[in-house]
Amino acid sequence: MLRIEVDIFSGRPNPVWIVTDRTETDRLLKIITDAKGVIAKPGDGFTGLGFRELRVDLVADDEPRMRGVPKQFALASVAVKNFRDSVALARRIIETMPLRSEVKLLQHDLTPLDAKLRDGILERLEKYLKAKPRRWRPKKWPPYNPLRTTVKDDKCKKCEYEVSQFNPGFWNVPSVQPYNNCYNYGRNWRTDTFAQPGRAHGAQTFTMACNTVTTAAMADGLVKRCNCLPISEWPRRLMALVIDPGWDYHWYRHQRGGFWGHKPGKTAARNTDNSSVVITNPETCDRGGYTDFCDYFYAGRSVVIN
Amino acid sequence: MVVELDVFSGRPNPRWELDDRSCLELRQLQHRLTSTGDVPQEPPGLGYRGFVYADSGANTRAYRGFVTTSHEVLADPTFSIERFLLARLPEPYAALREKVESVLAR
Repeated sequence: MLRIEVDIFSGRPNPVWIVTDRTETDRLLKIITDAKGVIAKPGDGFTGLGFRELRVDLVADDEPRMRGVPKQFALASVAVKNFRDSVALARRIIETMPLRSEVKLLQHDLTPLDAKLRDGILERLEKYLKAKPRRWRPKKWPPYNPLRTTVKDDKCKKCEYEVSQFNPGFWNVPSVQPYNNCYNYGRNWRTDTFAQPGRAHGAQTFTMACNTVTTAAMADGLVKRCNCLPISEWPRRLMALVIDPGWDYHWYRHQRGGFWGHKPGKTAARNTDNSSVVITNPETCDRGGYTDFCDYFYAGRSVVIN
Repeated sequence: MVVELDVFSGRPNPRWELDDRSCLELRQLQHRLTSTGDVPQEPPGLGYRGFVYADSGANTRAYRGFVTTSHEVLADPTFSIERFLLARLPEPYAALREKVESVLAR
């Protein structure tokens, strides 16, 4: 015996019926055994609204098992290798849907099997075949962190990054402050090594210019802004690089609240510029001799600094 | 005595050791300064933030005419300490002299 379920509805019970005819069951399983790549694990394909797949269950524990046919499988799933043949097979099964089921199921009260239902399913199956919707996997959401928020990038809407609550207390203590610089703060990684761009990857520069420091930082894994980082890179920072030409570099990090934080050398972390004004734009804030604004970068979790 | 020119953000600050004679001169210079009740200017985040040195374990910062030790603030209106240390900046950082001089001249 086979239980057939067309996974198509959202509110109503799905159309379900039982194939009790032994000849029909064997014929169907034989086709599936002979065909290659027509079945998938139920629920592995499209999981949105509309036709999703046709599920087949072997409902008795003493059915003769056929090689390569699991007890439960899906046809016409977008997860199958041979989508077209799998849909054709599903169509054949749906076409044989009994219009008056000999096995009465609870689902039939709300979803009675009739010609209208069968034709409706077949119509949606055709649309589904043409559209072949994409597999959808639920996003793996990062753990909740009250100090961190994901925001869309104003400059490139398709990208997201994380902004943190400004937390200078973490940095401004004697055991941390002298050993961490602007690069540590920008990346938000206390290494206690006064981290230098590129040093973790043998790419440190001693030429203080936008292009050289950019190259060194990118060797650590930073990417230019608008090259969106995936959620797997969470938490992702937005950093800004400026240069005191020939002498030094400096980094800022975007914080929650719309302002920027930084930590000049061994000094305290802060969110104000050289004029003691809260930094809302690192391009225009008072940066003293750091006159060259280079660029913005994203730094994901895979960025390693030292 | 180790002296540090507090000026960089990303790179490590220039640090060097004063020879014995210079140490003696520095102590004499500092000895001539008088205590003041004025509040020293707060160094900026970016740029020249003064010279830092530790004599007998006590950290001292000389910045824009004030010498701040752990227990007092000394007035140095002629920037004698800063100019003295600036003149002894190691050769690789010689070009920083101009940068610091321009701040002291303001």
